[in-house]
Amino acid sequence: MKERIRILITEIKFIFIRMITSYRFDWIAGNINLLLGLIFLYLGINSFRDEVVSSNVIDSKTIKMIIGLYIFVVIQEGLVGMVSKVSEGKAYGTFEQIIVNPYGSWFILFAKAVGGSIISFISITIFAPLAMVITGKYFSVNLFKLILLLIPLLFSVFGIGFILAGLTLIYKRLQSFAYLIQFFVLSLMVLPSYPFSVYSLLPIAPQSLVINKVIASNVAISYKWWIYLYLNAFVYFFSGIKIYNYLEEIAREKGVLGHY
Amino acid sequence: MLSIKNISKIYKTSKGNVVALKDLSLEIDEGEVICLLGPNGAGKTTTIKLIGTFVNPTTGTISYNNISITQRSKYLKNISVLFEGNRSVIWSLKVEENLEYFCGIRGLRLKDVKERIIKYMKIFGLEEYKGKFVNELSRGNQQKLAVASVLVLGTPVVLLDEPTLGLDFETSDNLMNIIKKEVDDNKKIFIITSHDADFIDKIASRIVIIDKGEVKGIFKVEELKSITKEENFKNAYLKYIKNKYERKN
Repeated sequence: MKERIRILITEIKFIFIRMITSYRFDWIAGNINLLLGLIFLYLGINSFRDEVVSSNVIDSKTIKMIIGLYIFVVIQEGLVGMVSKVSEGKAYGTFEQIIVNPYGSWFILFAKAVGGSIISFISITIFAPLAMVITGKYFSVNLFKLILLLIPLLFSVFGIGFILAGLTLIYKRLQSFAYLIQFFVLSLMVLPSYPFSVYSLLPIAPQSLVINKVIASNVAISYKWWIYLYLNAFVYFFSGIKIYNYLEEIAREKGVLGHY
Repeated sequence: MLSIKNISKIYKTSKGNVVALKDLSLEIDEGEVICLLGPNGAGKTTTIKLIGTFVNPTTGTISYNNISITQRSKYLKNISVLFEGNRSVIWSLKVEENLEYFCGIRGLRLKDVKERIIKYMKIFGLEEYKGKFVNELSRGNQQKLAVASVLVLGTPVVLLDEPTLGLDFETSDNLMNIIKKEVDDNKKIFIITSHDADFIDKIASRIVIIDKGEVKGIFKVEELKSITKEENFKNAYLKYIKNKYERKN
């Protein structure tokens, strides 16, 4: 367990934090993009305030949009990010060091994805309030509750990410397919998965909808729903790992694991 | 001891079965340097891939100190691998950070490996470049870093695929001395593929000659020279291969 924690810390420290210093300019530009996006989002929605829509509705819609934006970033990081890490690693040769890792290549990919999600979360947690200060439009979000709801969403996304990453081991490049899947996955966000329906059994759908309901519309969910959100997420997460490991074995059999 | 018993790899393709390696058996003791020799496509890299668990053998078994490759997690704690050239380094990290990163993703504690990292930077002459990014290094220094990032892991078995590719004589000689020192001091096992006859002559405990997936012979360097009555290793190898084919035809 100690070794796995060290791997996680290494990924966060070196790949992401050092990337921030190595590619500082690009990282700053990316965050300015995010900040400007949030400012235009606030100002755009608020231009309707009191004219056609009441203030309460505007606030709720703005928070929904921000949460939606964050969920989009999380899904993109989890799906396209995982596929890119495998493709790039295979092309540059660094994936070989991941394959010979005694703790399993899936765990290194997981550590990379967790690192990416933490960085995204920190960025949006810093820039969303900053955008509020700049625009003078304030909303309150229960950050603790948001984090508790984001955890099952992340695990659910990682589960699907693992399947795509496993396919990349065999088919080498899968980014375009991952982008395609990403839009399919995004459509899961709007399915009526709360209260319980057949859509609640899908991955990502119940977690993303409940985040919006709880954070933006202040809906109180029962403890059974909390348990269900985590249970659903872990089923997809562990199934994703299982499928990834199976696909890794196929790649090993075909001799396509590692560099090309 | 690294034990390879009757391993073969056959790929099933739409055009039929392709034999990448046929029936290789070898027992390698601590402190041995095994060099795999043969023309391009002979099966040398496949052998490295099999020992490194990148490929599953069709038949046969591989184990290190009785830990089979099927116990992958336990087995891989003893193995590190570097495939051709300087590709296995992270270009967005600096020299010292690369070494720290590769130790970190192996679950090693930075405190425990700090001394080792400094030691290898010194051995490879990378100390003065420790704060530089990989793309700021010469080709030779990039290669040294790639090899250092494998040796720093401290595994008893090291697999190197074409480690001297693109290196100048001096760097190639340095690398040879480093490997010799690792073998003498730490009794590590090295399995190396190379086309560099001089390098092999000076470093190999034994050579394995492979062609078209078939093992043509396993010798000590001096043994091959004596069989072929050639003093020069390259000539000895070429003569042996030529005789082998002539006998076959």
